[in-house]
Amino acid sequence: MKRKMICCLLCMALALSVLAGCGASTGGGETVSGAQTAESGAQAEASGKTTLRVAVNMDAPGFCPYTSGYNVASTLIIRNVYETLINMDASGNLYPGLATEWAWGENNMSVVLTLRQGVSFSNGEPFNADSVIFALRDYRGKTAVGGDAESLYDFDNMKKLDDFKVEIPLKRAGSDAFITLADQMYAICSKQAAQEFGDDYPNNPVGTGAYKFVSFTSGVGAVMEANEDYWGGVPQIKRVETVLISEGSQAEIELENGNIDLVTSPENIDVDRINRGDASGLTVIDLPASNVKNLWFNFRSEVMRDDNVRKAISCAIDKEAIIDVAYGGSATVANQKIANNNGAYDPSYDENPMYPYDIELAREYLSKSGYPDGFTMTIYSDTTPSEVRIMECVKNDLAQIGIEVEIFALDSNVAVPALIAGEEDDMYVAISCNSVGYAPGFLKNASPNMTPCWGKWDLMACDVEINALYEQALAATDIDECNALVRQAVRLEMENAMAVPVCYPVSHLTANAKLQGLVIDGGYSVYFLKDAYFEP
Amino acid sequence: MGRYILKRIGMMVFVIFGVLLFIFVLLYLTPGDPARQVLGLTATDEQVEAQRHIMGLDKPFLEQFGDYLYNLFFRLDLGRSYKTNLSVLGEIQKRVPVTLLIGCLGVLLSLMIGIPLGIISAVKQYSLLDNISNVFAVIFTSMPSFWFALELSLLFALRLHILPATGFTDYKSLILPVVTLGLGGAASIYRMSRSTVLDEIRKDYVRTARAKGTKESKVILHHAVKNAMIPIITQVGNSVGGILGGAVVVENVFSIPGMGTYLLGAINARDYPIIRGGVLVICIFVSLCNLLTDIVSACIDPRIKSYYKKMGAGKKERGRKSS
Repeated sequence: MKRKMICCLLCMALALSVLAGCGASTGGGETVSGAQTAESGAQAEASGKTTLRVAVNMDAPGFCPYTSGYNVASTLIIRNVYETLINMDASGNLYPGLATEWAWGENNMSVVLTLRQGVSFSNGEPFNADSVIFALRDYRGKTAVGGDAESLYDFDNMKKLDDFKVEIPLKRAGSDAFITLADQMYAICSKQAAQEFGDDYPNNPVGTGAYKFVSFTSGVGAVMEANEDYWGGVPQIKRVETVLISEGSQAEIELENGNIDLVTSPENIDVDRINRGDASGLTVIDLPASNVKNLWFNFRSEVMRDDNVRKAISCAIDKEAIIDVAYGGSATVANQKIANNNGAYDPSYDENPMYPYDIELAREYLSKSGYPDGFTMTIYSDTTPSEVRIMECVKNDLAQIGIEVEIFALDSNVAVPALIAGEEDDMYVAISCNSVGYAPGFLKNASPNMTPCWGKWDLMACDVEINALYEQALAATDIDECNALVRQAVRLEMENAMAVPVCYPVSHLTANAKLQGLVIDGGYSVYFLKDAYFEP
Repeated sequence: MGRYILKRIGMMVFVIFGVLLFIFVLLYLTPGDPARQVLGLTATDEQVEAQRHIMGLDKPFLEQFGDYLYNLFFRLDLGRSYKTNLSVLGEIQKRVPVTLLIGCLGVLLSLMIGIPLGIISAVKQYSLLDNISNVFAVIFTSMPSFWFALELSLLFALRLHILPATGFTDYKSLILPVVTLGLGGAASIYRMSRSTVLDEIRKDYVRTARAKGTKESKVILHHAVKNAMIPIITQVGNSVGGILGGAVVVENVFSIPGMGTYLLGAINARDYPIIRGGVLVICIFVSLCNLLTDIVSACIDPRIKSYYKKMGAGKKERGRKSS
């Protein structure tokens, strides 16, 4: 009798656990709602495909343009809910956003922006100069950390010239003064919403964009709907849902089943499959190759300060092999630090690379160095599979000239402090120079002193001259002058083998072939959805 | 028995405290700066220090631990995520039922398949069914769960279009994750059942029961299987205890917003409040499951129950003698 009672109790306990789970409808974390939900997806679907479902591979850390970073799950929402004063297209050309005109102020030490009229936030608040001052001076000033604002813009002294004109003083002369405003870090937020939501505003974004935020469920995804009052015209896609799918192959299955319309981080194998035509109704969208994968030298290391050692290493690396092994062919060889769609790009390096792959030449450089018999060195990277494979290829290549390499693949949380400390690595693998567009975009990250984990270039004599050229380029307001100066600086870097540019990794999206009108900002691969639509 | 249960519950508090301390020390010593993780690479050292101060990471270790214990026991506050600023307790409250649902259904499926199959295989040893079951048990025990999960998705979601590949929306989206967990667990329960039932049916009391003319089904089910269930109950108890942390692979593959994916993301992001809160909840759950398993074992097996009674009586006797 007692045993039967115990069995019953056990079954009840198990059943209660199951029922507790049944109470979780969509599960996930806290649901954050920013507005009333409009008509359901089913109703919208009845009148044609007006719902876009996008697979993202990580949870959004929030939707504050100043603090949430560049996680695609966040930027997809941020860049379609908020707007910046100036926009940049995939080729790096600037075009109007919330500002219709922009110009240099007195002595090129300020920028004057004429704002668009007839715009309002999705909560009805009108957009004007007060909105810009609140967003950039008051709200951004207390939330954002890092970035260029601290060294470039003097937001504290922003001036309202009239209801639709503002002047932003600059702390330094800068040819990047306009392009930087295209970054989401300078998006314009709503004062009314910031006051209404307080500290919770990052989870309840309100902007002037083509879409308005609806809800976010941690672990599941976010929803936004078309802003019917958008100044640029109501988008054809009425509802956008981001869906968290961590596993790439599962995202492709959902894409092929029609449950997803766009996959933001597809696997290379699925990209190849679609390109071969093995999956009907799907297409691959190539993103501009705006980043350069480099091997960086740590100049704290005495060995790496030897010019001939660096030249020997540069000549010993087989970049084509790295592309095949690490990227499955989905990259192109880089012979300089700048992307080929950048105004400062110099095509002569492709015809005559400064340090071509040549083992004999590498051995010759090494024999002239202070280490003719070779040496042991370390290379660091994070645990990204492509970077680990790069290190393995480099290890094999350098072994041919007598350099023994120990590779360390570290979790990024460990790798970053280690690289900043710079005490143990001789080289490291990292992406650099988000250099789409014209040179000022490149310059944000080019100066060695702007990123803490760079290997102490100031220990190198040529650094003074290189930095001086970059600073002149930054201060130049003429594009051609800026490009010319950057080319000079890059040439100096190349001559001194300050780093080894390896390749331009190519990124892709996979999508429903009927999806059209997706506008991609090459800077950070942001997707603007206001002109997107599905073909019938 | 009651005293034993109270004693175990009392010990749980010490276990939880010990686990919390261990986790705190581990995270304290782990390389990587959560403040830098939040702010990004371009933040200056001053900004990182300021962020560390906001997060309370610049306080001495004991002060941080003391603050955490105070908030935990007096405010039931597990903190807020460094990354999303959402309440950790709130997130856990949403995600634990999801993982429990899938895990418990998986365990139920394991039991429903593993036990009957194990009994039949033991009774009909070396039969065709026994041999086939053994082969499948080895396959499912050896097969990585993530691979199996993907194969199920390919077949049922992509080829047959009858089940969704991802998500947690309706009963259909539960099927593939539950089957993945269940078949893996069924294999080990099958092997355990078969082994224990085989042991029991060879014992003298079973031969005696047969000699007395008892029906074979009663001999097996009423005598042998009951005794064979004791180690199985222990294994099931361990399996249930491992649900919260053990479903991470399945949750990741099927994009289920459960505790596994929550913790995995937190570990990668160095989100300490989530890691501490998640480990605490798992620790409590595992302790409770172990306690429940012990109680059930004691109730089912009179030998264990009498042992506890003897222990209690022995202590009383020693107490009387000393006084």
